[in-house]
This record gives sequence, structure tokens and C-alpha cells, in this order.
Amino acid sequence: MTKKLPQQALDVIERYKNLNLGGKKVVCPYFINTAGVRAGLKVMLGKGSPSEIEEEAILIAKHDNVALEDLEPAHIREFLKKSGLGIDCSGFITNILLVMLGEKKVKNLAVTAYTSIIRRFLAKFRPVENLSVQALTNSKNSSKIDRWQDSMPGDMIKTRSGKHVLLIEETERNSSGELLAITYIHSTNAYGNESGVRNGKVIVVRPAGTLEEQNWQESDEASRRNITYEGLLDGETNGIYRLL
Amino acid sequence: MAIISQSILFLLISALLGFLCAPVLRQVLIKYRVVREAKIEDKLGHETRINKAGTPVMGGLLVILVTAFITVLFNWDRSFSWVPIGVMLFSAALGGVDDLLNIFGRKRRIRSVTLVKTLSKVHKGLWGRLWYKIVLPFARIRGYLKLLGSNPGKGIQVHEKLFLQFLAGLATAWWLFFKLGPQWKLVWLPFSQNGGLDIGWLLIPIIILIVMATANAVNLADGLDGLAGGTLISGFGGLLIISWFQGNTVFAVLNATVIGALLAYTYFNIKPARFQMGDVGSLGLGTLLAVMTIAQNRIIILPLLGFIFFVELFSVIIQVIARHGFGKRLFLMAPLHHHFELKGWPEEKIVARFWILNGLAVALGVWLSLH
Repeated sequence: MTKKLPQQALDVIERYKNLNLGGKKVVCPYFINTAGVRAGLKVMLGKGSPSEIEEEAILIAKHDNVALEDLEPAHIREFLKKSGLGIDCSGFITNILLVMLGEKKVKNLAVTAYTSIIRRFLAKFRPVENLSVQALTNSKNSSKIDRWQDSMPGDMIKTRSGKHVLLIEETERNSSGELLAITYIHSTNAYGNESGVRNGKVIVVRPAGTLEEQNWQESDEASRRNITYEGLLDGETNGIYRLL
Repeated sequence: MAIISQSILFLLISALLGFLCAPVLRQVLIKYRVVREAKIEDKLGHETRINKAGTPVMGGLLVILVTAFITVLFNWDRSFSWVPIGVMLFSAALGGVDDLLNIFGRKRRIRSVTLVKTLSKVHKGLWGRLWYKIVLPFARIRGYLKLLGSNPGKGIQVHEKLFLQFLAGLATAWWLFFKLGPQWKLVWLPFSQNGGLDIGWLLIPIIILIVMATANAVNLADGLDGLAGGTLISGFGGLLIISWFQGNTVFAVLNATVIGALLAYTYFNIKPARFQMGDVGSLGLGTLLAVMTIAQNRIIILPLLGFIFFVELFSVIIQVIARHGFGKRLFLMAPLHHHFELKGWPEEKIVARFWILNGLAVALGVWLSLH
């Protein structure tokens, strides 16, 4: 028995995986706002929706006289990265939550990064930009589930002590309801040329064991490392979180 | 009839002088390499824009110098000429310095708010720390004003420009409030029974704001060949007609002189431009448009006389608010003419349509002015 995210959420994921640029399908690369810019265009802060990223890319291409239709998908991805276009992990999940839960509910999620009342008020106008992994997995917005075996699509897997987050896209259970596998989706800066929006899978090999003891399947051609899994091992607060 | 005849004569003389001086000015600008740099235009990327690299800037000097020359020699009136010409020359000088610094100047190091904040804590000397604490609020204001600038780090910075424009506005307000007489304090309103509205000293900040806004609005609109020049012609054309009805010969002749010089300038600025206006022209003429409208007591219709300029200005303000407040882009690019460029409209089409729209707005303004 397979459980998936709602169709509209899956559509958003598909759009991120297949950005339509220059008539080619391009996987959205990873981009994070390391400069800590608070203002500015949402799409330039690593928080844009697929259509916003496409529109901005086309605009920048026009500015820079870049003919996207003449470029290979790999080069278009390079162009996106150089232009500061892409999506970070929390921005990716927040954009999915926007279609799953609606803008009103996402706006009501607590922004935990600021202590100033003014900043918190201003953040209400820009929820997507201000919801970090720490905010999404904060006790005000979500709680860690006791049994990872109870996870379901829409739950978040916090890794690297809150520096990265994955979204469970699909769960597979047998007829007696036991969890067989988890498919997750995330936007990551790991995996070199294969970074950006990508899937990974967790095969349940020890149903009674911990989440870390399962078979995590994700790696890239070059390094052959499962960096997502390494992130799970890095920190104590990691685990599966569900929005309240 | 005499006032109309005299104005037309000055218009023709001014245009003739403009046509004679334009090729000389162009040669001088080329000789001293006062030309558009390719790397600035590359930012916009369009082929048409790259082609503009090498075009002389500061062509607006033609209008400024011709207007000042003719007015000083043939149309000088102590009461009515000093401030319009003085403020125009001051703003033009500000724009000219900016133009030159943008071409020949080095990139200026502007300390960020974070750096000033850090220096106020860690500077080795007590006086140094104190100094950075004092200038911290200014650094913050500068940081916000930077949002309005297009070329941070080079030329005159936005906060410096605004301060100097504030002085120009202050001079205009002083002139109107203390020198021109009590009837000028009554702000004219269309269809008003008692001749206008007395808002007292509030007129001073309003005048300052109007002068600053108009100068910058014209500056923003000066992005396509012929756009600012043609639009200014219709704006000053409206003022000329109004001055005829008001019977003020000094203002009528001054407006006509500007139009004559602008006709010569625009002739050479039509695509492909032989030279561009530059800040020297746009700031100077923007200030003059505001000052003349204020002096002719028609502040209310200024948004109609400079309709396109204000539309361009508001497109930038709205874009900045949308961008920094809501993280979204309302126009593909601001000012508005760039939006249409990116939509694929040819430059000529945008310019012609903007001229027509401004012409219609000016007609409305003149009509209102008669009521």
C-alpha cells in the first residue's frame, strides 16, 4: 500500500525537477542565501517557486544576452547557479507546504529566527523567506514523532542538527501496515553536479531498529557517498517531525 | 499677441543656436572621451543597448547652456530669472559632476552599516569609536537610500545627491515664499472660487519635495533615445501656453527658449542618438520644470505636465517596495520603459507612445489650468 503527498504537492515537486527553460527540462539547482540578505527578490534568496525561478532566469538571460535554447541542460543549470537562482532545502519544503496547506496556514507558522517584534511582524509578509529548517522543526510548528515507523507523507526529516531538512514524499506499507520504504525529496548542495532537487529512498531492513539502522539509498556518480545519511548521523535532534 | 510673437522668436533663436552648437558639443564630448562606457551598458544586455556604447553623454549641456546664455543676455529679470536659472545651473552642475565621476571616477568605498557598527565597537581609539557611533545612524539612512540608486559605489551617491537637491528645493521655496509676493503663497486649484488654497508654511516642504522628485523623475526617464527630450518639450509647451494666458512675458520667453533648445537637442537625440542627455541635462531640466511650474503657480498640474516622468518615478518606487517588502517583481524591470523593452517593444514604439501619453496629459493640464 503506497501513500503519497497530495497531487498538487507532487505537481510542485515535478515542476522543480523539470524547470522549463529554453525548451529543455532542467532540475532546479540548490542555492542558499549565504549573504543573509533579508530584503530583495524572493527568487534571488533561494526561496522562489518554480515559475518564479523560470521567469527570473528568462529575464536574466535576456539581460545577459544568453540564448537558453542553445544551451544544454547542464549548462543551463550552471547559468542558474551563476545567476544566484535555485532553491534551498527549507524554501523547497515551504513552497510545497504552500500548496498543501494554503498560504494562510503557512503564514501562521511561527518564525523563530527573530526576537524583535517588528522583525517578526515583517516576516509575516514574507513567510517563505523566513521559514528556516529550525523554524519548520521548532516545537511551535512541529513535533518529533515517537516512532519513525509511523511516518507518513508530509513529515519532515531533520538532519545535520537542523541545517538540512527532507520531506517524505511517499511511504510503502505491507497489508498489515508495516512500513517497507520511505521515499523522500529534498534540495541539497551535496552530490556535486547532481545537487539540487532530488529523491532518495530509505528501505526498511530492521523494522524494530532505529531510523539510522535502515538502508538509506542515495548517492551520486562521482563520490558514491550517501551524504544525506551522513547528515542524519550528525546531531542529536535529528529525526522525523510532523507539523502541528 | 506680442507675448506669443516674442516667445516664438526666442524659440526660433534658441533652436537655431542649439542646432549650431550641437555638432561642436558632440565633437568636444568625443574628443574628451565623455562617452557611454560599454561595461555599463552590458548590464542591460540588449543588443540595442550595447550598441549605445561609445555614444557621447552630457548632451543635455546643450539645452542648459543655450537656455542660460539666452536668458542671461536677453531675458534677464531680477525677480523672475535668478532662481530658475540659478537652481537649474546648480542641479545641472550636480548632474555634470555625477556624469564625469561615473565615466572617469574611481569606485568609491562606502562603508556598510555592519562595518560601521563593528568599527564603533572595535576601533582602537576612543575618538574613533565615538565617531563611528555618531555616524552609524547616517550609515543606516545611506543604506536605505542606496536602494534607490542604480550605480552604487561610483559617482555621487544617492544620499549626497538628495541632499544637494534638497538645497535646490530650499532655494526655490525661499524664493517663492519670501521674494515673489503674497499672491504666490496661494496654491492655485482648478475650479476654485477664491483663487486657491493657503496652506501656509507647509508649502515649503511641498516645494522641496516637488523639486527633488521632479529632478529625479526626469533623470529616471532619460533611458531611451528621445524619451526625456520629447517629453520635456510637451511639458514646457504646456507651461508656455499657460504663461501666455497669465501674461508673464519673462516666463513665456524662458519656456520658449527651453523648448527651442530642446528641439535642437531632441533632433540629435532621436534614435540612433548622436549624444545622450546625461544627468547634467536630466537633473537640470527636471529641476527647471518643477521650478517653472511652481513659479507659474500650477503645482497641482505638475503630475500632468510631467506625466511620463512621474509614472516612471512611481514605477521605480513601487518596484522597490514590491521587491524589498514582498520579495516580488511587479514590473519586469523599472523604470517602466525597461519593462516594455523586455516585453519586446521596439525603443521607437515606447518613446512615441510615451510622447503621445504625455502630450494628452499636458493638454488636460492646460485645460484644467484655464478653469
